[in-house]
Amino acid sequence: MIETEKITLNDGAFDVEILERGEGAPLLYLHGVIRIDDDPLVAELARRHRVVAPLLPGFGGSTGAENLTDIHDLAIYYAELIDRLSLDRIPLVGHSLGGMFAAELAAVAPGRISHLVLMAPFGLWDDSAPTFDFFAASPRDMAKAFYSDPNSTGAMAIARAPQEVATEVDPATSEGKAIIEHLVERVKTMSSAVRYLWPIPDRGLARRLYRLTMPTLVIWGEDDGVIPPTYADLFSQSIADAETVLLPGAAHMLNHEKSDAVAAHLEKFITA
Amino acid sequence: MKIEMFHLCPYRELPDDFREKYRSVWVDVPAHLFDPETAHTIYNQTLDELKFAAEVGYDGICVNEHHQNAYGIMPSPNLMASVMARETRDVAIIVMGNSIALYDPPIRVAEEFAMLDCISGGRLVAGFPTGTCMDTAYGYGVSPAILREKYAEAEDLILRAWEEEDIFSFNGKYTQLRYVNIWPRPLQKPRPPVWVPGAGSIETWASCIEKGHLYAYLSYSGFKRGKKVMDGFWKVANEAGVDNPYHAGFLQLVCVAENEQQLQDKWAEHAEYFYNKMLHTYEGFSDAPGYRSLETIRAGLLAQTISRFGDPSSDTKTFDELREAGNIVAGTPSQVTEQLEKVIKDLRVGHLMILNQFGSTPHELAKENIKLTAEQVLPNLRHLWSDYEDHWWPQNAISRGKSTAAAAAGG
Repeated sequence: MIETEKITLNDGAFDVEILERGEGAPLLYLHGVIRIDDDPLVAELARRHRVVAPLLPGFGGSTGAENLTDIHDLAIYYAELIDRLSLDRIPLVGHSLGGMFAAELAAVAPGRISHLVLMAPFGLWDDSAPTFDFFAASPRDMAKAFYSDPNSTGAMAIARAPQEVATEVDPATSEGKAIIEHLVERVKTMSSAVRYLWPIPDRGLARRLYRLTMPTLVIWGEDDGVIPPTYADLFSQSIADAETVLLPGAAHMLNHEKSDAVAAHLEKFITA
Repeated sequence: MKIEMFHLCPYRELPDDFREKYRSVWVDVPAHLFDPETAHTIYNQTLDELKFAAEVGYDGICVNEHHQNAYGIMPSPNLMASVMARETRDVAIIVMGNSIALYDPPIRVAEEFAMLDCISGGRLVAGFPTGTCMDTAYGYGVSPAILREKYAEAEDLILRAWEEEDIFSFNGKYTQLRYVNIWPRPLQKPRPPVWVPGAGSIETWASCIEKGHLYAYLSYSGFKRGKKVMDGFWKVANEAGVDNPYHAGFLQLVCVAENEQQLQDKWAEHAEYFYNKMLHTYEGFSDAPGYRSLETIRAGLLAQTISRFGDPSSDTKTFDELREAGNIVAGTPSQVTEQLEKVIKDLRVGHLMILNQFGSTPHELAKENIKLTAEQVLPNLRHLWSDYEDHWWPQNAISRGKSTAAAAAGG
C-alpha cells in the first residue's frame, strides 16, 4: 500500500510530498519529467524495498520550485532531504529529470549512496545528438518520443492531452475548467523542469561526474526519442564504476513500458 | 488624443507557399528565405515611411523588438530609433521597446535609451516589454520560469540607474554591479516615460497601475478582442482610482482608401499576407511552460497565435473576415474615423498606435495610407480626451492636439 507523507524543509520554503510503498531496506526513487500515477516500477521495487519516492519540486504537493535558483540549491535540497529522512548508504534510483537530480545528489554526497541507478537521465549534452525539445513539441510528437509503442495507454494519454493552446478559454464552462486545470498542472511541473532543462539540459554535471564513485547502473530504453541512447555511453565513460544496459522495446518511459525488465536489472545490480 | 504610427518592419517578400511549406515565421523561419539585398530595401523603406509619418502629422513613431522573426526584422529597434532621432525634429520616438530581461547587464538598455533621449532632445518613450515567448524563451534562451523575475529586477535597476544622483551598488539575483554609474543620463527628468507593451497578461495591468507606467495592448487581434483585455485593465485601474485614458494605448491595423473598390484592390492581398503568412507561428513556440503566469491561465487568457498543431491550411482568413472580426479597420476616411473614434472610446485609450504598413504592403501604398490616415482621419480624432492630461508623453515631443485646440480657441 502507498502511504503519503508531507514534510517541510528550510522553514517552510519547501513542502515535499513523499510516497512510500513496500517494506524492507529503503530505496530512494526520483521520478521523471513526466510522472505517472501508480508507477509500475515503484510497485515492482516495493516487493523487496521500502521505496521512498518524493515528488520533484513543482509536482503534486511538492512546492518551492521557485526557491531553487540553481543546481547548487537543488543538490543541497536533496542533501537536506536525505538528512531529514535519515537515509544512509541507500540505493538511489533516478529517472529522466529525476536521474539528473540523482546524479547531482550522488556527486554532493557520494558516501550516502550505496548504489546509483540512472534511468535515461538528463544532464549531459552532445551537439551531434541533441535531446528532444519536448517543450515545443506537439502532443503527438511528444507521445512518440516518450513511448516505444504509440498505441499504449501512456502514449495515448500524452497524445490526447487537451488542446494545449487555444486563443481563449472560458473559465466558466466545465470544458474550459478542465483545459485550464490541465494547463495549470502542466505549467507547475514543467516550469520547474525548465529551471534545469532550458534551453539546454546541461548544468555542468559533466564536471562533477568524477564524484560518482559508487557502483552505478546506467539503463536506457533503446527507442528513447527524448534522450538518445548514445547518451548511455557518455555517462558510463565518465563514471568510474558503471555498467550500461540498453533495453529493447522501451523508450524514455522505460519505467512504464518495461517495468519488470528494469526491476530485474535493478535487483540484480543492487544485490550483486 | 495621441496617435502614433507603428512599424513592425516586416519582411515583405516571403514566398507564396510559405504557409504550406514551412511551419513558422518565427524562431525557426528558414534562413535561406532571408535576402540581405531585399532587407536593405526594406530597412530603408521602413525608415522612410516612419519619417514620412512624422512629416504628415503623426504625433509619434513606434518601433519594436523581435528576434528570429520574419514579420519584424528589428532585433535592435534602437538602431532604427537612432536614425529617426536625427531624421525627425518634433515627434515622439517611441521604442516599444527593449526586452529588458534579455540584456546582461540590463544597464545596456539604460545607457542606449539615455543616448536616444539625448540625441532626440528629450523625445524618447522607453518601452519595457516582457517580450514574447518566441523572442525570449526560444530566440534568446531565457528560461520562461525566471523571465518575469528577471524582468522585474532589470526594471528596478534601469529606473534607479536613471533616477539616482549618486553611484550605487546593485546586488541582484541576476545582475551584480559594484558601480552603477551610467554615462549619459537621460535628458528628460527624472526619466523618459515608460510604456509597457503587453499581450494580455493580468499581472502586467496591476504593475503598470502601481508604477504609473502606460499599458499598451499590442495585439493583431483587433479591437473586439482588445475590448476584453482593456476592460480587464480598466477594472484593475478603476479599483486603484485611475481613470485617465492616457494611461493606456492600443494597437490597430488601419487601411484607408477613397472607396470600397480601391480598398479591395489595393489591400486585400497585403492584409491576407500578414494574417495568413506572417502570423503563421508554430504553436509549440508560443507558450513555453512558465511563460504565462498561473493567474493569467486561470483567467482563460491564452496565447494569441493563430496556427494550431495539425493542419497548416486551417485558420486562414480573408480580408473581409478580418475586417468583420475587427482585426483591421478599413474604409474611406470618414468610415475609418468613425470606427476609430468608437475604438478609442470603447477601449478608453489615449494613445492609438496605428499600423499603416503591414505584411507585404509596398512602399508607395504604405505612404499613401500614412498620408490619408494622417491628413483625413487624425485631425478628426485629436480632440478626444482633451479634458485629461497626458502624463506619459515625452517632455520635448510635440503635442499637436494641444496646439490644435489652442489654435481653435484662439482663432
